[in-house]
Amino acid sequence: MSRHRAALPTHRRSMARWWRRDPYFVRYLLREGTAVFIAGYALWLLAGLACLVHGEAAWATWRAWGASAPALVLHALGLVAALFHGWTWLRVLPKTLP
Amino acid sequence: MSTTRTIECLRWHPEQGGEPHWQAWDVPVAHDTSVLQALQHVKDHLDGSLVFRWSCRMAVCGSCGLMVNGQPRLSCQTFLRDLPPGPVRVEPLAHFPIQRDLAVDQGDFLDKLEAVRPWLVEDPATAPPPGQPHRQTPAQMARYQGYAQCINCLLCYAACPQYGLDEAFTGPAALALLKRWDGDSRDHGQAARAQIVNAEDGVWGCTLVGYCSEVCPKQVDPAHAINANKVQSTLDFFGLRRPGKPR
Repeated sequence: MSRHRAALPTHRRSMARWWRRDPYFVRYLLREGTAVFIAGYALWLLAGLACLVHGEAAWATWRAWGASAPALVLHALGLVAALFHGWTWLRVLPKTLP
Repeated sequence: MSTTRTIECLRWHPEQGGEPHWQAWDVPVAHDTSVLQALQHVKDHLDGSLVFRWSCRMAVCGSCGLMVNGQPRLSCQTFLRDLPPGPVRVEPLAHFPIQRDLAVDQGDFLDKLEAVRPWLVEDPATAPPPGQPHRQTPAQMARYQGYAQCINCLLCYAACPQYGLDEAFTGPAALALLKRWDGDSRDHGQAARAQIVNAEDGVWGCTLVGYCSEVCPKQVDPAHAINANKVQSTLDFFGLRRPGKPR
């Protein structure tokens, strides 16, 4: 038990919806959230590698799916997310250098 | 010409319990009225039961940290003229339990501050004889001087959602002060402090939100102190020797 604790009862406030309390937190969550797109693109490339190993038919299917409209939209979204994530990453980079 | 501003304060008293409630007062303001001065006017003229901490009135003591319109600020250096028109909302520092009105329970921080050994851990073999100064060069002092500016105002804790979500996290100011003493050429306490740095609740509890450094009134940059220490912690994990301090 701490020797610094208050003698009388205290009131603890809720952390519900904490990310809405400050625009800084929203930007932080956007920064972290865009990493999901990076992970998704990595999985997409991994799937392509697996298809390549699997044979010519699988590789052709993967390429055809990649040229489809939904895939192109996802790639465009992923590019925007990756650029934003990269920009935020460069902004916090100085904080991580010894 | 005299003008007034509405000051809204979150109030809670342990004797009454329940949920905190807002109370508003109109206070006369001049061009140089700070939030702290507005609160002092309330206490002196309108409601003597309002509780808040303050001391130096010049951003040195770190006592008067509050949430002003939702942002952690030193109330003595936050001027009403700089705030958007309308009522000014004043709350106790976020993420800390309310002790009474605008005063928070700082006990958890004080425990953590004590745990990081914020003092010079001397090695008798290298310490100068009693009464003699323990000298260091300007370059050696420059390595930690930025972190030594911390005034324990706790704005960084109020800006850190990680601390709000998990009180076990050692937190920005304590870890910045840990780095301050670790970086001191006269200090030999790195090994003792390493267990705090390397713990799950130490530097690895930080997800680099970065808001702590934004709100710091002394530009201490606790986010850098924590994340730079992740390198040291990684070296420890792999059993690699930490780079020595320039002596």
